[in-house]
Amino acid sequence: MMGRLVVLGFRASLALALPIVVLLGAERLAARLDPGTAPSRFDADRGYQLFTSRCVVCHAESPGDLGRMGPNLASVGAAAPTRRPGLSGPAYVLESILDPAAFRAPGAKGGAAMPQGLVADLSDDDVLQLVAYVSRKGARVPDREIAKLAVERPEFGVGDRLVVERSAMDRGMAVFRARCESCHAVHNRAEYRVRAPALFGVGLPADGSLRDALRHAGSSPELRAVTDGLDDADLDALEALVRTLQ
Amino acid sequence: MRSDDLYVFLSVYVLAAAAALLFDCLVRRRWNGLALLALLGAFGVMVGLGIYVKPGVPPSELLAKLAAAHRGRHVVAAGLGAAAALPLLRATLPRASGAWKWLDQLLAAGSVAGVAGAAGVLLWNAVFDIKSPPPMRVFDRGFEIEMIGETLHPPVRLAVDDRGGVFVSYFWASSDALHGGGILRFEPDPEGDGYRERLVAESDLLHRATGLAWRDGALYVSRSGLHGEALDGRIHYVETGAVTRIEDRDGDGFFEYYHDVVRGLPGARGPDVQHQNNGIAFAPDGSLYVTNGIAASLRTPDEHPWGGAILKVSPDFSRVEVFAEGFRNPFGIAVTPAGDVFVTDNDAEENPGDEIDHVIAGEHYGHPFVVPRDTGVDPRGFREPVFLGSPGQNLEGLAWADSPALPEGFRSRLYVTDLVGHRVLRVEIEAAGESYATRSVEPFATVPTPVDVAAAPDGSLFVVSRYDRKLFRIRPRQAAAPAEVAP
Repeated sequence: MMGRLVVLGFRASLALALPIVVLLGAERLAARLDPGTAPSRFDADRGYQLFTSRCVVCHAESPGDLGRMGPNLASVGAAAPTRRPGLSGPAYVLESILDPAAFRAPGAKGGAAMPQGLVADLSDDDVLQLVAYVSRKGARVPDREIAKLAVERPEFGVGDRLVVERSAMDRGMAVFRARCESCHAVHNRAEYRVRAPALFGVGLPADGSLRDALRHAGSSPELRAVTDGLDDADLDALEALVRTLQ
Repeated sequence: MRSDDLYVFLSVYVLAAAAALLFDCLVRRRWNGLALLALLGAFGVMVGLGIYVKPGVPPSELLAKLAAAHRGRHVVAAGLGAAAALPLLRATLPRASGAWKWLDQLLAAGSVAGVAGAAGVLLWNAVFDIKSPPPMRVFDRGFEIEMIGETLHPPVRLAVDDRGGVFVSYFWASSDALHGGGILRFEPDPEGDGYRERLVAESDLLHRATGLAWRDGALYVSRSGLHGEALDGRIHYVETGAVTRIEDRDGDGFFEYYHDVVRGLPGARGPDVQHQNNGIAFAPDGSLYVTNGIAASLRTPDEHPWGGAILKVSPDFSRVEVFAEGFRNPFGIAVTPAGDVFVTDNDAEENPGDEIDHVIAGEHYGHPFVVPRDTGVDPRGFREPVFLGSPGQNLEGLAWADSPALPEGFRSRLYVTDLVGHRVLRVEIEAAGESYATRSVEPFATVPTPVDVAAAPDGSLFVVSRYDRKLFRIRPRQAAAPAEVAP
């Protein structure tokens, strides 16, 4: 009786384990034959979420859309490996996100440059999610090429500590409430980004990129009206305010 | 038997059974495949459910953590678990002979007692709906703590009147979109030595009744709504906050007269809808201070100039001015007889530390531009908190107690509740320039989820538990006799 139970126990565990082993083996074999078929640990939905909340304001996703300030990214994955000698596609995308000044892509319109620190508040994993999403536009990129990237965030040359002065914040808030708030909401949700990018977590560095953007975005008459009459001190205060929103 | 006791029972039983079965397999070479499979399942249950017994504690450490707590209940549960496994342990030993037969009988009896005992205690508690008493304790021997009342809905706010009563506000919302709020008054029972409960106000207007103050026979309630407007892609929230005076004009004990003395407060707003005008307090000169939260939980500036500000309202309620700004969701407020205003402020979502701030006219307390413990920022022109809590603390209610009935060392102190630490803290401050600095912070009492504290003139401190829905009174022991004589 006892012996039969033992045998039964072994058979049961074998029956459970065997299909799992077979499935795992099949999956690995398929991934080895064609790396693009491996299930990705990077989540396209998360990538889409990050892209639409941070990038799509300036970078179009649909082919042929040239109406934005930044280059069209519809098939950037195919072009990425050719951009920078020695950098793989994902590595180039990562560099462009973390340090936009390192290379200026063809197709970028003259004028405003992409600000630094757009992903300063994201975890390393989220940065890689975004890299996966972007570098897979028009290319099949295996997970390991993305996973091996090290997210090294450059210092923005801010100095030791960000000086935050109350007088600048008071003035900046006054300008923001009078000039910006009617279009730029402050909250990090889709319904607050309808009219213009939200101010949430912008944290622009002290490289004049806000002024740069204001100057160049002023190609539209509406925006020019917004900045008309603001003096240097107002713009300084606004810049100081936006810098704190990291 | 509570869930952690059951977990101890289960774990000890599974571990004892595992020891016996493995000993059988490895030493006696008696392989019992079915039992081993069942054991594997039991381990899975133990680990899987362990995650929910104490969320945040890894299952591998849970048993050690529970053992370190030295609870009598756990010892009993462990004993029952081990007793239940006795037959399995016994089976590993050679068959008893002769005089040792009684041992086998004893083990079988122990097993039955273990299983039936554990299940019996569990059933008893379930049938009679027995829960363990709330953990309450006051750390100084000169004080006593007692539970004086319970509420149906989670309470938020306390206020004491000048007749020995204590008001408790609450609000609720149902999944059928019904919502409302109310105010209870707990008053000394003339026919006994306890407190009796009386419903003094109930209305949909009291939803979000997050501030209470008593003055001259009327109760003032800080309340707000939530109403958003959407215009062509732009979302805007209507100013729904108000301070409402409610009175019992016909003398029947129910407060039926409502009048908004302060209107146009930003109130609760999107996207996070949990911050609004909260605590209110009258200063000795008759002016009213009103705390206001900002719209978002995250570190974000507010569209409304009164978001995150403490407002000062003139004694006749005709003028409202921004008294100080830079708060996130100030909740508790206390004004000393000298007119110093103190508030608690809950800080950003990742909670670098909740604050007690001494509120000075015209000052800015940092939020959202400067948050506590941010080493990357060099703030200039902002006020520092008087007391900065550790990241795990959640400071909510605040009271200044200066009753002559309180002993030295407990008089002229701030009392603040730590909602998640289940503590009431006693804070001693000392003058430092035009403001104050903290001299000492000591635990005063343990109360489950204390959300507010109020100090009565007779030296009693009332503390209300939000999620245990209970009202506690803490008072000096020598004050017990006179307090009970006075009606």
